[in-house]
Amino acid sequence: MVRMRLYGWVAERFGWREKSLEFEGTIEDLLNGLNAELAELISKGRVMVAVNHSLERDLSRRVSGDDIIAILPTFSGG
Amino acid sequence: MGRSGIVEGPIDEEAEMRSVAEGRTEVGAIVTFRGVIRETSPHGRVKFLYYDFYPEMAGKALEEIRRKAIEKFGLVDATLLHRVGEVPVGETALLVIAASEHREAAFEAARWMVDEVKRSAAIWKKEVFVGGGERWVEEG
Repeated sequence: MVRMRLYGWVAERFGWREKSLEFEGTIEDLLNGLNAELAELISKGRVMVAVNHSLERDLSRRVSGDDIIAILPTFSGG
Repeated sequence: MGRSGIVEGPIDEEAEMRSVAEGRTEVGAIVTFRGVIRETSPHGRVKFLYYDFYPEMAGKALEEIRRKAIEKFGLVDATLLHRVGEVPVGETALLVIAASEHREAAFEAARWMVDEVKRSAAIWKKEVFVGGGERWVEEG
């Protein structure tokens, strides 16, 4: 099961924090299948994607199994 | 010994200062930066800030920043702590301590660590206002 996590305002916007789903394919396909608005936010550069706790810019990367895919707004700590 | 990490409650700044400097006779300068929650915002009167974070990424980034600062500026030691969850006005959300032989390195390292936290740690803040309303802060 692929695990999806949302953080910050993205989690509030979409109303969930974590989801597990059966999926095997590219990050782009995963996001398009999940929510068109989410995919659009990424294409506009408003949010970033991390796979297994590292930022990933290549949305053609394939994910499956135990992968953790996180959607991250621009960092604003401090 | 200095340390880094995510903290889920008030930060004991005096204890952190002691642990960085205690017994380190080569230390000639200690610069401390406290990022404190302020009440004023262009969007309203702030009651508290709420910090969300990605545990696996944020903790790793803080340690990486601390380690790099020690190397880059030749520090004797450093501490870098970020509080998460609700942080009320007047309390410390970010504590940076840089200890070095000479003052220049400590000043520069402290500033660099603050900038790096804002740039590379997976942490997000939301202003929660007195009387209701809230707003996620977006940088950049």
